[in-house]
Amino acid sequence: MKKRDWQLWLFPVITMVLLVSIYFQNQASFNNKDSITYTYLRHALQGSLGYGAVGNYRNMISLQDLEPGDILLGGYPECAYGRFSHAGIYIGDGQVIEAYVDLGITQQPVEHYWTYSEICLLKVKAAPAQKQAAIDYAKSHLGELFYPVAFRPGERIWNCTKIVWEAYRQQDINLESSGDIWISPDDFYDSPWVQVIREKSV
Amino acid sequence: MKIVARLYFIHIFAWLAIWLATYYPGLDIVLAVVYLVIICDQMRSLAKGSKCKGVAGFILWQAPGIIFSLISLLPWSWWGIKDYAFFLLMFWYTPVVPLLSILKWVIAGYPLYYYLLLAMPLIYGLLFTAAIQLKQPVFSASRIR
Repeated sequence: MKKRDWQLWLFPVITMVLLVSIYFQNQASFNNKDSITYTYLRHALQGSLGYGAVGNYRNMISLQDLEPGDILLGGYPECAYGRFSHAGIYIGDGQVIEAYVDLGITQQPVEHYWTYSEICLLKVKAAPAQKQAAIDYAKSHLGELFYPVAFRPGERIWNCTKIVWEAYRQQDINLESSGDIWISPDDFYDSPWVQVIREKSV
Repeated sequence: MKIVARLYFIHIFAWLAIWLATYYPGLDIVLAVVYLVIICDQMRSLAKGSKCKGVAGFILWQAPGIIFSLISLLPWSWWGIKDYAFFLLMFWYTPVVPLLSILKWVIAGYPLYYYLLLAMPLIYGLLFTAAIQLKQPVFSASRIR
């Protein structure tokens, strides 16, 4: 064996070990055909990749009675992850904390949710103090890194849903109870911890 | 060509391994450091032949990163191509993402990792240049022999 052949084979071996390890830790998730993994693969096979047909669909849903701690979901047609592709947590004063690949975890005006063809506003069944603590948690992570396929564990690598999920999980509110390896916006919609304020499809 | 194929092979499997390692926070950072050590060592092999061949090999290896970075820097975007290019840029540089995730500064509205990802082909270029320098034998500057 040549001196540096180990460099060539180190990462393939580690990949196999990690694949097996993650599979055995999440067998229930991999056996669930409704999980986000299979949803994405199904849509990918049908030709839908990524977050769908981006555009300005002018849903003009009323945002007036949003309260701090509420969750916003948005989606475009042909989204691969399900009905919704994006999530954010409302923090008051017309601002939302969300995450994008180029901006990381960021604070933005809420009005841009009008561009989605699918929109839903959710109220979390939690005490105001818990909601404020969730907002504070999200704020403390502003500027941190977005990675599109961020796994559930860890507090360094995020996507738009993971930061909202983790902010509430820190308050003992688990918005995704199926135990999947990652979080999707549709998980929030299906969670027993939330009630729909209003939703719209354009 | 053989060394470029080796670099692609190492990079692509490091991409998979380090992405999966993010499931175990901490392990991803260790593997990212190991990846950089290995890639620097391999780049020294790339620099062994002529300088031109070495540079051509480096550009060939980093072509995806260079293309995605240039598209991301375009002032306009057709059908969201710019957004997708930055997505792909981030995927291509997954092996160093755990190291970028440690940096939490925001400059002019963008996080530091955004600028570093755009500049990553240049950063790899600097690593390559350093590898070339390391390859050169060091002679004594002294005239007293």
